[in-house]
Amino acid sequence: MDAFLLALPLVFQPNVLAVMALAAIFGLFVGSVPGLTATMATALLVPLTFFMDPVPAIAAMVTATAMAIFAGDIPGALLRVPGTPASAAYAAEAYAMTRKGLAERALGTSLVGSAIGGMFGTVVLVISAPQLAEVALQFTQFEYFWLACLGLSCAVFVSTASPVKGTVSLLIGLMMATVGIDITAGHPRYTFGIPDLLGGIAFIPAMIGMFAVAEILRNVVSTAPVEPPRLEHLFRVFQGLGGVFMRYWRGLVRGSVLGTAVGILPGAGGDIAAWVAYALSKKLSKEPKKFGTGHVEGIVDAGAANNAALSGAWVPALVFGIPGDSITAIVIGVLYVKGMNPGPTVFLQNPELIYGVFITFFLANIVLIPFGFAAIGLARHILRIPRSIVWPIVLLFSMVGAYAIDNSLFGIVVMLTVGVLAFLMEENGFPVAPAILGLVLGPMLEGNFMTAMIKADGNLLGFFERPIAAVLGVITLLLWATPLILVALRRARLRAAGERG
Amino acid sequence: MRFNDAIIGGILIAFALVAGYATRDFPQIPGQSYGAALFPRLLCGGFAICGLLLILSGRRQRAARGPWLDLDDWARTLSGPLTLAITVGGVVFYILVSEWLGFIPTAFLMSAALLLRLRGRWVSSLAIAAIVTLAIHQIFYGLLLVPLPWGVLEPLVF
Repeated sequence: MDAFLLALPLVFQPNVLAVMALAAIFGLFVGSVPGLTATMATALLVPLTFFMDPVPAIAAMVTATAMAIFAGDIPGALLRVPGTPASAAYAAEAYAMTRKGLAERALGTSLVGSAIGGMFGTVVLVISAPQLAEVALQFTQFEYFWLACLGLSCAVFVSTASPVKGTVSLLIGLMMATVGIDITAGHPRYTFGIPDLLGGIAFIPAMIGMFAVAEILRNVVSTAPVEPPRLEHLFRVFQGLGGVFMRYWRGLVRGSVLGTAVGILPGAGGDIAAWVAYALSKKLSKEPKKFGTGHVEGIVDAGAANNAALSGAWVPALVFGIPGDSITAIVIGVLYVKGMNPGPTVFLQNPELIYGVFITFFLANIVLIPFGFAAIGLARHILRIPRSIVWPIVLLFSMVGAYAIDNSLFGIVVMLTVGVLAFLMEENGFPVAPAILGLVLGPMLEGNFMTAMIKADGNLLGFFERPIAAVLGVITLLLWATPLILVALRRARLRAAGERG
Repeated sequence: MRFNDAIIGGILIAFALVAGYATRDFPQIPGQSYGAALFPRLLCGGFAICGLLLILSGRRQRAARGPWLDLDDWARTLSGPLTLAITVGGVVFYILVSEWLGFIPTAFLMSAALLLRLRGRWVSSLAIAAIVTLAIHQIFYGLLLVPLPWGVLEPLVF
């Protein structure tokens, strides 16, 4: 409680509130421009937050992402082009509503659903994080090693259809993290005699490359023209919403719970939450045939789920320092750069900071309604901005951002190299989210692994001696064995079918 | 621009060999039989295994008459790769000359080239490039005190 009271004045300061308002506008803009994602909003904010105190820095990122995830629904509903991947699951449905003349209903539902889902995820975060942190305080390197393995493995299996390609992406991230002076022996690894690499591959330029430059490259080669939409009855946005939510309150609860859970899972964020929630909503609906024809039910579930996932992702990020999605991966990277190591000790040493995050989340989800409403009203104008203007601006902004971290051109070199790599990876079906998780968690994984090895005197069985470590270890190994078991089962079934046939 | 999985698998195995070989002179932790090389070697092992799996799946793609390289629509034309080259080239140009030419001229040239390529209209593209360059300069140099280089404009510092 004391920490909560300490945190209030940290957040309710004119400059923090102003930063949040600007971040909200930025997030709404980025989210509603197709191609610019919530993750990119965070990546582009990083160079700016670098110059702020921790609380406004986090507040800016929380607000911008909450806004961006909702704003992604706007072009989804009006143009059938999702503004961010998190809206992709129900863009077709919302657009079908627009064609029936129900654009305002679709956007109103997703706006209020987003705020409620985000609020639910926040409540879960506030209740669970301090409790989990108590448990996490007992953890040693063994538990953290397995936890990091588990988180990274989840990221691989959840984020892509091909576990092999997901693994390669993860390995690329981990390999990038090994560059620089090594933590245990103090030896420079893979630095090729370049002094700029001694400190490792700078995280922020790498991340700007991965999420901004790769996206720019993908978009400049194919700029399809976008027709500006029409919205005739803006003030009908909130009309009849009571009825919608009364009727589909189960979906709202389901979407919120599911979204939070998916968010907590490392590697999976709002986009996957929305897909799962939409599919589940259809499966459990009384009228599944109406789905896809402009039916509001799925939007209730999925609209709540993607914003709930955003808050959920902060649970493992704050408690264990293991990001729940690529946005929190960036946030963790920023906290490290600011000299604050996320993990249970932050709850003891800087509890006001944690409560500051909680308050920011509540605030962001409350102001989502008026700001989101204004964004719907302005959508016509935002969507009229030609994307051919947006990309050069984003590129220049990214370059200056990558430069600003160390005031070094090497930052831009890293940004470009990683950006081209990420572009080629995505072109070939390799997801980039595992790579960014690997880059963030690499030092933690290796550090805990090496310390644990020394503690266990090189005996791998030592990794299973403590009860929680043993449980986490067994779960991880089972997860790794799953694809092998599945392949074996499929082979056996094919052979059985072959013998029969 | 999708390569056959086998090509990527081959690249990954080659990478694993080179990166693994590079760990040979990484020192050990005193009193232990492992050290700075252990973790990278484990990763190289992972790369090699994934590379093998990708080669296997690439062979399946070939058996199903998949091509070695599958070009997307944008890569089939001349204009897509050209835009890509101007975008990447612009950044390389900035890296090479911004220190002596200065942020404002370099950023203006770079963004003007890309805007022209994407829009094709001279006057508005140059105007937008100028406004954007000055605005970003103002935000980062003026507000955030990032020492963006002045270069040839040094005598005009404001």
